[in-house]
Amino acid sequence: MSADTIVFESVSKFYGEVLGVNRIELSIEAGLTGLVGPNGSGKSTLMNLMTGLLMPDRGTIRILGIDPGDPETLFRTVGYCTQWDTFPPGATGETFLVNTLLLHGESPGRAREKASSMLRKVGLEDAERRQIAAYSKGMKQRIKLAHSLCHDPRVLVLDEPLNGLDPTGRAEIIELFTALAAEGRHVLVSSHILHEVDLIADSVVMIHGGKVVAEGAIREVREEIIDKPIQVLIRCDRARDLAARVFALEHVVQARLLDGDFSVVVATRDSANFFLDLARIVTDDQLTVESVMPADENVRAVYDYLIGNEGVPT
Amino acid sequence: MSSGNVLLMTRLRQIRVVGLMDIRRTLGARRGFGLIVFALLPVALAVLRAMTLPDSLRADLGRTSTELANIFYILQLRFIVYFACAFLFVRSFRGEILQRSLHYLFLAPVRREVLAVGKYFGALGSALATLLPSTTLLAVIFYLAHGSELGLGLLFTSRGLSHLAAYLAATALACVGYGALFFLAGLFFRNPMIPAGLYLGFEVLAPFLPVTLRVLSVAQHLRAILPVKLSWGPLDMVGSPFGPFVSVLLLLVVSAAAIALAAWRADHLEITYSDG
Repeated sequence: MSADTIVFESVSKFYGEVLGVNRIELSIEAGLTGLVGPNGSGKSTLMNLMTGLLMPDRGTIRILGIDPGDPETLFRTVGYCTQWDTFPPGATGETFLVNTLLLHGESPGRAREKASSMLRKVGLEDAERRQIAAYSKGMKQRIKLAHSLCHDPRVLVLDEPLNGLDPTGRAEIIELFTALAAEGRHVLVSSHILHEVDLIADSVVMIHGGKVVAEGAIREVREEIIDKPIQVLIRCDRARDLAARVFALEHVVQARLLDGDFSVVVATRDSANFFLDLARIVTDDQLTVESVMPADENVRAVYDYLIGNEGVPT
Repeated sequence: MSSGNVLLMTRLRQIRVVGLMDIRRTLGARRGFGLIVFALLPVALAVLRAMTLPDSLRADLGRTSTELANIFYILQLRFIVYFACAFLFVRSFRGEILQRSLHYLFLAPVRREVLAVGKYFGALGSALATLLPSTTLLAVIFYLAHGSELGLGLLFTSRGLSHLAAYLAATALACVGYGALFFLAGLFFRNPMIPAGLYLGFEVLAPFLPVTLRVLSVAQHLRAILPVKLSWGPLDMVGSPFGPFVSVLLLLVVSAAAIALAAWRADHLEITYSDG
C-alpha cells in the first residue's frame, strides 16, 4: 500500500444491525478532499474509522501506510477535528492544548510556547485563560481545530469544521485549509453543505447510505455520469435567438432562457460536438458571447444526479 | 541508550503525563473538595471520641489500639477507602465517556494500554493524596485523646510508628486493590456502581466462602496485615487464611491482573458515546 495515500479496502462497519458504512473502497491523494453526504450518510463513521476511534468489522484501512490501530505512530501523522463539541471539564484553551502537546512528547515549556502560537493562529489568543465551557460555538470550533493542528500533522481529518463559524471566520479557516493542502498535506473535510465543499475541495468523495457513490475531481465525476445531459450556461447579447438555433441541434435536449434575453442554459448529450456547433452558430449569426461555463459541474448537481432527490444535502 | 530503553522511558513519561493530568483534574475540581470532606469523616469521628472519652479510659492505651484497629478496618477501609476508590476509579474512564471527552486521549500518540495504566495511576495518586493523610490524622487523633504527652509518646515509639506504617500500608494497598477492581468495572459496565455494590456484598460474605474465592477479596488480604489482631468472637475462625506476605503478594497479583484486563479492554474500546 502506498505510503502517500489514504486507502480503504473493502471496509464495512455495522453498529449492531445498523449499517455504518459498507464495502468502502477509497484511495485519497494529498490535497483538499471534500467528503460530502447528508446527515447520517456515514461521513463521521468513515472519519472515526480512519482515526481508530472505531474499528472496521471487515476490510483494512491504511493512512499513509499506517494502521489506525497503532495510535502511537498514527497520531504523529494525523490530526482529527471531531464532530463532538465536548471538552475535558475545567479545561481552558491553554491547558487543553498544553496537555495535548505534553502527550505528544513536548517539554512543558515548549508545549506552552506551541500552544500559545496555535491559539494565535486560530484567533483565540485573548481567550486562552478562559474555560472552554464558556466559549461560543465558533470559538469551540476554533479550539478543536487548534487541537487537531497543534502537532503539525501531515494528514488532517476535519468533521464539519466550518459549523458555527461566522462568514469571516469561515473565510479565514478555508484559507488555512487551502494553505495546508498547498503544502502537500492531506486535508479531508466533511460537510453536508455542498456549495461549501465546491469552494474549497480539489476532489470529492460522495457518500450516501453508507456507500461511496463517487470519488474524484468534480469535473471527472460529472463526466462519468453519461446518462445525464451536460448543462452549459451561455451569456450573450441575443440569448433567445441562440436558444432557438441550438434547440434545433440533434444532441440538444433542452434550452432554457434565464435573466430575460441575456442567458441560456443548454442541456446536451454530446458536449464535444455541442461546442463545435456553438462556435459555428456564433460566427454565422454574429452573436456576441460574454461567457460559456458549465452549469452542473458542481457538487450539488453531481450529488443530485447520483442519488436523485432522496436526502440531497443543502 | 538502547531503543528498548528509549521506548520504556517514553512509555513511563506518557504514564506520568496522563497520571498527572488525571490528578490535576480530580483534585483541582470541586469534586476533589467533596472527596477530601468524605475522607475526613473518620477523623471527625475520632475528634468526637477524643472530646467525649471518659477520664477513666484516658490512660488505657491498649484499648485504644484495639478500637483504632476496629475503626480503621470497619470504617476507614471497608467504607471510606472503598467508596472513595469506587468514586475515583470508576469515573476514571467511565466519567470521560459520560463527559464525551475520552476521544481527546485516544487521539494522542499514546498506546491505549499506556493510557489505561496512566489513568489508573492518576486515580491512585488522587486516592493516596486524600486517604493517606486521612489515615494518619485518624491514628494521631486517636492517640492524642490520651493527652499529647502520653498519646504522642506512644505513637512515636518504634511500636507506635510501626502500627502507623502498617495502617498506611493497608490504606495504600486497599487503594491499589479496590482501585484496580473499580477501574476494571468502569471499563466493562455502563453503570459500574452495580458491580461495585455486588463486590461489597462479596466482601461481606468472603469470610464464609471457599479459600479460592477469598483470594479475590481485598478486605481479606488487608486484614492479614493489620498490626492489631481483630477479635470478633466466633467470627475469628473465618479470619484471613493467608499470612501477611502472601496476602500482599496475592493482592498485588489480583490488582495487576485487573489492570491488565482493563488495559486490554481500553485497547478494544470504540468511541460512540451512544452507550453512556
